Amino acid sequence: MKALKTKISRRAFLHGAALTTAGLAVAACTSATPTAAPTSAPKPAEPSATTAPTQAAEATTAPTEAVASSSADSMFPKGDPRRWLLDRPVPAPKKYDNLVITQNYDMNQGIKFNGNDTISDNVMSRYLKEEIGVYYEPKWACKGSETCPTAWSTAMAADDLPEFFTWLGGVNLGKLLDADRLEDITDIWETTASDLTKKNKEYPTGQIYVPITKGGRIYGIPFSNGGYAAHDSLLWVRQDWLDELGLKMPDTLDDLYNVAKAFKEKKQLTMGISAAGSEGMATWNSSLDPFFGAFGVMPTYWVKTGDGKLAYGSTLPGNTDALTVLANWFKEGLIEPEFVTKGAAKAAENLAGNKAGMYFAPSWSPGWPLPDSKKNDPKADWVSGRVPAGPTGQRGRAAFQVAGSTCAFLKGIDPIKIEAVINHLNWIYDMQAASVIGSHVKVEGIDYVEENGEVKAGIGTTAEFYEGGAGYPTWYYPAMEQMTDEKMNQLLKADPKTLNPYLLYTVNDPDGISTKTRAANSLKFQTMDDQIVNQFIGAPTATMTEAGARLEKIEREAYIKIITGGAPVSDWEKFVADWKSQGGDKITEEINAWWLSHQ
Amino acid sequence: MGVAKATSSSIAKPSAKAVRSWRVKRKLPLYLMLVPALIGLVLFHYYPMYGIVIAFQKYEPLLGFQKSPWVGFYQFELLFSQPDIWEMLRNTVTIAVGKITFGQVASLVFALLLHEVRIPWFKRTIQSLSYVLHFLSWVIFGGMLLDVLASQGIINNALAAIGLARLAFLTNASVFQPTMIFSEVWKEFGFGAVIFLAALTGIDPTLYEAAAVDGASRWKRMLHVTLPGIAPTIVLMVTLSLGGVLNAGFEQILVLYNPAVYATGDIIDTYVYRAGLLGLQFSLGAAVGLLKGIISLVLIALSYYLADRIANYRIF
Repeated sequence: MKALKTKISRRAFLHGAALTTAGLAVAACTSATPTAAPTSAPKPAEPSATTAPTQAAEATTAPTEAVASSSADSMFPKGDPRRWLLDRPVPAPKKYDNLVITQNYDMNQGIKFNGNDTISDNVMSRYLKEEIGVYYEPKWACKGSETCPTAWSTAMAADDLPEFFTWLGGVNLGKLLDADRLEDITDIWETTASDLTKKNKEYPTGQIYVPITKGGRIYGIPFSNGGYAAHDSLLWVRQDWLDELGLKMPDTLDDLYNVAKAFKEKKQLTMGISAAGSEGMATWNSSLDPFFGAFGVMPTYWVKTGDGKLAYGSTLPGNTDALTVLANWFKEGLIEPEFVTKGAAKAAENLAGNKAGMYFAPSWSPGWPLPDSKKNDPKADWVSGRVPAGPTGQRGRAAFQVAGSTCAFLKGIDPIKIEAVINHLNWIYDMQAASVIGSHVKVEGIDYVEENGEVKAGIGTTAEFYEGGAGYPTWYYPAMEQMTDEKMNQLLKADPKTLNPYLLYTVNDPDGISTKTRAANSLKFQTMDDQIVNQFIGAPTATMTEAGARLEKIEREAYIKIITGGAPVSDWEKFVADWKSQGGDKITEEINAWWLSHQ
Repeated sequence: MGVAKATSSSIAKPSAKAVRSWRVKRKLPLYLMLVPALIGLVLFHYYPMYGIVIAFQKYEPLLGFQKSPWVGFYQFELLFSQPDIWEMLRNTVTIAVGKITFGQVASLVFALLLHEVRIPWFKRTIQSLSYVLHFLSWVIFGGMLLDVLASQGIINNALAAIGLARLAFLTNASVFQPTMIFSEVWKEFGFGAVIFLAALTGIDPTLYEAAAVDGASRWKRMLHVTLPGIAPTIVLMVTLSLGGVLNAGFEQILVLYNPAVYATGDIIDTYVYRAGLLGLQFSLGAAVGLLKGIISLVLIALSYYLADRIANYRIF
């Protein structure tokens, strides 16, 4: 169940991140931290510069020259993509001589290729070959949550394993580690990883090393959590409808109920809140996790209890309160009858089609799917709010985690390849640290294209390509990826003429995506106490593997039946008893043994 | 054969050996033509069968066949220790039998009706339209169904328009099985009719003429000429489909089911997918596959025997 949760989360992320970038979400991704006045759009004084970066670029007579005058750009020759964003030189990366490393491509759904580009020869692979002399050759590829779990299973069954694994986690990681098929990288990591890399990867004390440590040695490079909370739910509400109906941003579950009811009735909607029910209670769009958080519980999460042990969140009291609320919402038609058949991606169509005025989703929502909502209803003005408080003032949201996923190397791999990957990572972190807006480096042709001095959105983001498309040994970005006040203010104060078109775009934010995302992120980071964290990040235990499918079934069935009125709330007790007797008690023992050994 | 016999009896008897070599020589091209198919059969159907051993192991893919521990019938015990195994088995058989029955009947009736259509272009158009859906994958067709069958979808709106209650086709456990059966029939009846239509063209037209001369109405002709004419095909189709009694349509259900209908919609295959494939318990999957194979074999043999005894019909 934890395994499944992890799987869902990470796939969800890929999906989400991919879709985020469907629009011009480059800005959304790079901006994250509090700004003083998040709602007032920061903009330079010149009116012509406020509309779009392209016009701004035209306003300055020769845009490329204006760019060249910025100190950041003078360090790099014209045409070098790095000149866009770095404010100091980055040491040249260690270059290898046509090193080929096979890798599984767990591809981001949003990845698109230009023209004749293919998965094995594209703008990213050429960029990496040129810069570091490494080619990450696809061993096999999968895309999206439908194909990836199956692709992994068949690859494991056929022993069709790459030299370099990305997105390795859960049961796959456990099996590879048990079968001694992963290479011990401790020594190479110690000598090759830069201090900055070690710091960003929380080495050696980070909890993220737990799943890949065996006998005091590490067998992979873990993805870092960094408190990024990438997919934590926030409340998103149509502000224009609130204003129209004279309502306030809901703060409690009762407020939420009133607004949902008012929206459904006064706006003639088919639902009060958009909900996704086929993937469990916590997911990455139209999630229901804040309903449970309002009563201090989180289904499927292993949480610390009073006695210091871990307990399974679905079996703790408080679930019944949340289920009572949800059943009532369903009965009154505030949750649509189809929510059971909808996963997160499908439920997002509710927003694009403006069938709902409220939903729970991550801070990156302004990048996706909300632009679609606006496209279909230009008046749509979505704002973010904190997850609602329950009757006792309690709030809670499912903390998104990637801990448990990792990069690793197949046993017997040439050590120079491990070194090359770590050096690649060092280089990425160096560039991030030197970036003007704390962003990942942007690659021309991926993140943006420049035509006649105009900057336009590219085919995606470099990060997206790295994550699934080409050996990306780091996930997720450390805090530096987030736009800070300081950096934003620096940009705001600057003479627009000295900013290159890309930065102008970030500052002007013509679509409002960057500003809204920054506001949501700011809210998210100010309310980190709302997070309910899953403490179990190990590989699935023996009983989890054998009984997991069955237990997940009875859990989902019980929750959905109760919400849809097919069973009374009291049936939750029966579920808990079944869960415990059909393997849950044994799993709890195993989990606590793991917990004890990792304290 | 007949030719060979005639030759050997009339003139001086050649040795049996000579006859045999002559026979082989004459049919050699035919045997050779069979070889690629045989190789394919052995390579893709018989050779992989050694993989069945993992049904009796606790197979660890990374350890391989040799090193994985031998556990005897543990996987089968594990399967039957699932408290809901009988529920899943019942769902599987109910849905599969429903699909076979209604599917065959729908295809047959459609083929008979189409056979009576006299305007060729109309016949061809209808036939083409009828099996277009067959070529859509369940992922696509299922996605369409999710919208079509939604509470505000086209079918429910139609029901509401004529004063009927809206039905939760995909979320009401008691309606889910019929929904699966009829959506499958809807998608496949046209393609299923192709074989019946082919059989219909094989009926001697003089029989119809003779019947017409004897004063048989179209209905009588269908009853006494058409149906007996394609009876062997019907028996064949039913016999072959019996092997699929444990195949309730994995893809379709995976796309369309949800926790609200687990009670009637969860089948053996979806369980194996969740536990076996997603949980990397390959041995469990292999055990179920083996079990299904054996049961299908028994059923096919049985129906073949029954077809021979009752309908006096032999496929081979």
